Amino acid sequence: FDLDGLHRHLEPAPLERLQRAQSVLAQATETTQRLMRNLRPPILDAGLASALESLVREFRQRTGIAIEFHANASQEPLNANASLTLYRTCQEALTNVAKHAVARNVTVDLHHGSDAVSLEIIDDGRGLASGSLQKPGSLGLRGIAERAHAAAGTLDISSRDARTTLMLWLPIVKEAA
Amino acid sequence: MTALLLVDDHSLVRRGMRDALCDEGFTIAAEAADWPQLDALLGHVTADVMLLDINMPGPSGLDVLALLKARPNAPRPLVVSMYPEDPYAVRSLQAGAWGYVAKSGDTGVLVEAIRTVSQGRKFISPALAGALADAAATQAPRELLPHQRLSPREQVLLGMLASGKRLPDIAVELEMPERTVSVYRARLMEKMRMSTTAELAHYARRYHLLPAG
Repeated sequence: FDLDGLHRHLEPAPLERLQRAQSVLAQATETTQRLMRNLRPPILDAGLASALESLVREFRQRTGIAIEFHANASQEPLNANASLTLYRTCQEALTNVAKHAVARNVTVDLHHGSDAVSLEIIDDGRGLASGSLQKPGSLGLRGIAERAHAAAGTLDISSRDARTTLMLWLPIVKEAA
Repeated sequence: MTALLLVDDHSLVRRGMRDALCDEGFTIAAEAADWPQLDALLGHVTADVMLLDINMPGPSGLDVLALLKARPNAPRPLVVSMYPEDPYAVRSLQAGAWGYVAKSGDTGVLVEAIRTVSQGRKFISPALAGALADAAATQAPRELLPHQRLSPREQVLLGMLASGKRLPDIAVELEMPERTVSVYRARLMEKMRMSTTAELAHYARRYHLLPAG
């Protein structure tokens, strides 16, 4: 509003510069808002289970692969970092399955326990090359492994009966009352 | 004339809704910016329909819906939200809302929703009907025994726990940290609805799930 007020008092040349500056400012504000939205998707405000359910639905619509979602009831709301970590892990894991796994069935299962929250993602696809189970640097697992480490979480990846499981668990930090 | 109660933490949004809805012939009985204000109003204000935002500080819209269950004389809640229908609308309905309208839609939809709810019917837009159908399909109960719903890791763990193996040995055998084994065990026990190893062992014997040898 202050900037708009200046319009009246300026000659054409500086007015044009002011207008350009305002346009840049508007774009920067929009970009910042977009970045902030990406940092923490607003969908998490409705709860982690809802947000994961939404990822599962998008995956189904995008790939047509049969996918199920299960979650048990949570005792208390999760802290913001934990839910963001779990959300991003699910997002990356599903992206990997869509890109590499050639799966026909996928299950996403969220469990709130008394001292840990865990997320299992299981697919019946091609599976990870045997080496990458030991070296999570390949096939998009690096991002997941780094994020798990940053959140003091533990990743367990296994393969059995032609199904691959990725499980991430985080200790539950009791919020200060 | 239908009386409305507006609940939204953004005063500009409430003002926009107030102006638009007054033009349509509705009366605004009162406004609240959060649950404490709404709680205070419910004691003495009468209205037919409540327009409720989901995203508020303190108790959110979904929390408020749960709290409203203890206030049977409160105006019927219609959620008006900036989020799209999927997945918030289904959660809202499950929590007790009478309908869901996205703020991105036009005033005509909101008016129709308010009229529908004021007549005692739930407002289900086509987008909401789609989201509901999807949710019903995903959560369809499956005729499976509890152990058939376990993940591969959980199934292996069931066999090992039921045959008496101890956590440290399981951790070595499955090449996982002990705490990870604990996490899988917690998941497994909850899915099986059991609390002791003895119950697991009994179940495993009954369904021939014990590993041979």
